[in-house]
Amino acid sequence: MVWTYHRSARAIVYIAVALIFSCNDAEYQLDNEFDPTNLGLEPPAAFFHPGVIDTLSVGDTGSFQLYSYKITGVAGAHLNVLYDWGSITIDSVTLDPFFVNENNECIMFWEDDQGMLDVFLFYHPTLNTRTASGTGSMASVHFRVMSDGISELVYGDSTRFVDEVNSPVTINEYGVGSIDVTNP
Amino acid sequence: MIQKNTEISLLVHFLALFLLLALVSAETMESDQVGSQTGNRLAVLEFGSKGISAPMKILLTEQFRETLKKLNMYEVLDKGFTDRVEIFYPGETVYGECATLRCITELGKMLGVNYLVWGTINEKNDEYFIEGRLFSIDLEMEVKGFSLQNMAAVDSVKLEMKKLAYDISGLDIPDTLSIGSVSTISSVDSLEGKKNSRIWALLPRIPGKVRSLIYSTAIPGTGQIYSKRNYTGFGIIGTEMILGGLALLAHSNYKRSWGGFESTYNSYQSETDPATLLEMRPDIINYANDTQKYNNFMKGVRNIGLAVWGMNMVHAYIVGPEDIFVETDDLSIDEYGQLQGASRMKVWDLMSGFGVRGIILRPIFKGSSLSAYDPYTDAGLLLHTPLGLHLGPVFTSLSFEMTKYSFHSPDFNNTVTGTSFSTALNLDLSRLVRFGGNQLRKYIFLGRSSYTDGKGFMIGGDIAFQFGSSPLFMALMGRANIVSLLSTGTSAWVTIGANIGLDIP
Repeated sequence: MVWTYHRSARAIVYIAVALIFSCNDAEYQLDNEFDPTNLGLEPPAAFFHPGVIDTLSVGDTGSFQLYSYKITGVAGAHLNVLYDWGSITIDSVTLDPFFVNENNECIMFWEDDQGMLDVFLFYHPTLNTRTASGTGSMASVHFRVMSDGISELVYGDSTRFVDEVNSPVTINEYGVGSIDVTNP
Repeated sequence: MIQKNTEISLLVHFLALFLLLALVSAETMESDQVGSQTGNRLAVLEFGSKGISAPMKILLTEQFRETLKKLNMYEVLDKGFTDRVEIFYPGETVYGECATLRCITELGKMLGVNYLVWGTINEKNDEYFIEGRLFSIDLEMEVKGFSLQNMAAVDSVKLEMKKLAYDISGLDIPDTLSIGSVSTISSVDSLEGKKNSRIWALLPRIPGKVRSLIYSTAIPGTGQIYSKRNYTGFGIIGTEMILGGLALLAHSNYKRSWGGFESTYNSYQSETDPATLLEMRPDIINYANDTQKYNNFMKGVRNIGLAVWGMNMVHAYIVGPEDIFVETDDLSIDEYGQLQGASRMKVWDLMSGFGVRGIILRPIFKGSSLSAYDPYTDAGLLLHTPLGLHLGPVFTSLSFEMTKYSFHSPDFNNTVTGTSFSTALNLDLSRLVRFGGNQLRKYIFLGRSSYTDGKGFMIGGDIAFQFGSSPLFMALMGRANIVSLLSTGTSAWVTIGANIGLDIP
């Protein structure tokens, strides 16, 4: 009760503790596996999130995101994703916030052709901004598992990013992903 | 914009000037004030005795002393101050007693008196004999001698001691002079009371130096106060309190940073979105750096505090009273408040009126341009000077204030931080506003301020409380800053806080 109700006593103790002892230094390890800094990619880069999907079985549905990592000045993108046709089938592709402007506008369409998924994204310019920049999810790909095994996800050679005058934006590295399906 | 190294340079220059003034005047100067001193300070040494008890001897001496005081012809030193000085003069036969002229002269000089009375009271065959001498310390000679004998009763002795007081004072003895039994009892009681009040603590008999060391080990500064080094003692207490305040301030900032670090780091460990994780990284690193900075500051303050504590212990032992030879200090100032005017001018006299205080303050109101920012607690320094003039009952002097200010946006992406240097007129309204009496000092500040990226004005006030007769002050303060900064334009903020420090009287 003395401790709770006597603030002066607490203040004296705090002063004594501060004078005699010291507090702990903050120790931390920024080792979250989903942290782009820990993926070993040199930005600007593009990767899959999550990088490894290993919790699904045959017949299950899942999704992965097409992620940008510190890409700047992008007005449009062609994301060419190669996957193991027969292991999974693409159900749909949905738009994510990276290319969406302040008016909630964006142009996206996609094509899937037996192991090759092409996603086209265009930033709708406004009075304030004409390009998208930063780190964020560009699109989400929803799929269904058809057979067990490991299906790799890779950005194909056709993948490119362009700025507002259609000049290529340099991407240093592309990450890879995998869908690891186990037998039930 | 004042660069950080220029701020430090300005402060160093100001402090250097301040210290130079003290050092140049470090030489102790003696002023010949013998002529202008009140030449009627008198001390009564405890009468020697033979055949009577010690309490009786003390009673009779005290009776004599009290009567002399009431007659008002001399400024009589209290028993406590007289007894604080013990001298073992070469050639004296009894430890702690003076019988020779040279010993008495030396003792009188140490007590700082002009006259000294000493005598003996002897009892033999139921008869009492009193002998005494009045010495002039200034002239180093005996001025007057007296003796009485053949008194048959203690009451007669008491009466004769009173008569002696009249005699010493050069006054006629009134016919109605009596013993006054009530006053006798009350004087005995007061003797006992004075004895009890002198006891500092229930400790076994410990040498004075060791006792001083023990006191200062327990509470820094108290050993010095026990050894009558009041300024040093209160200065050490004030220093440790300032260090404690700074440590508390740093601890408060540390707790705030630690809270931010803990919550952000916990969120980081459970988060799965890469974009969010990327945003958290710099926040975690900044919080961790801040906690380390404040922790290092606390460690530094702790080390300084411990060093001051250690030096205080050593100093307390050095200045602690010797068992054989005890030197009094500043008797005339402590005991004879109305008779201020020490015979020697010291450094403190030249530094009189200067003061320094440590500040802790926090904004409570802010202008619209700072509405998106959160205020934080900061520290500062206030320097008083006696450079000023009296405008009626108000003394207007110059003072300097240096305070830090910090405003942060909630996400710490934007900050408005810096240091303000203010030169202000300090109006002492204590005589005008009588609320609180002399212990509570009231000030108003009006000043021009220079901020890290702008200029402005400062208006404020202090209500300062003085701790007894010590130079230690603690004040509640408020400041209003009206500024024009490059980062925010015209703005204002109001702070409240506290400051603690020393004002050299």
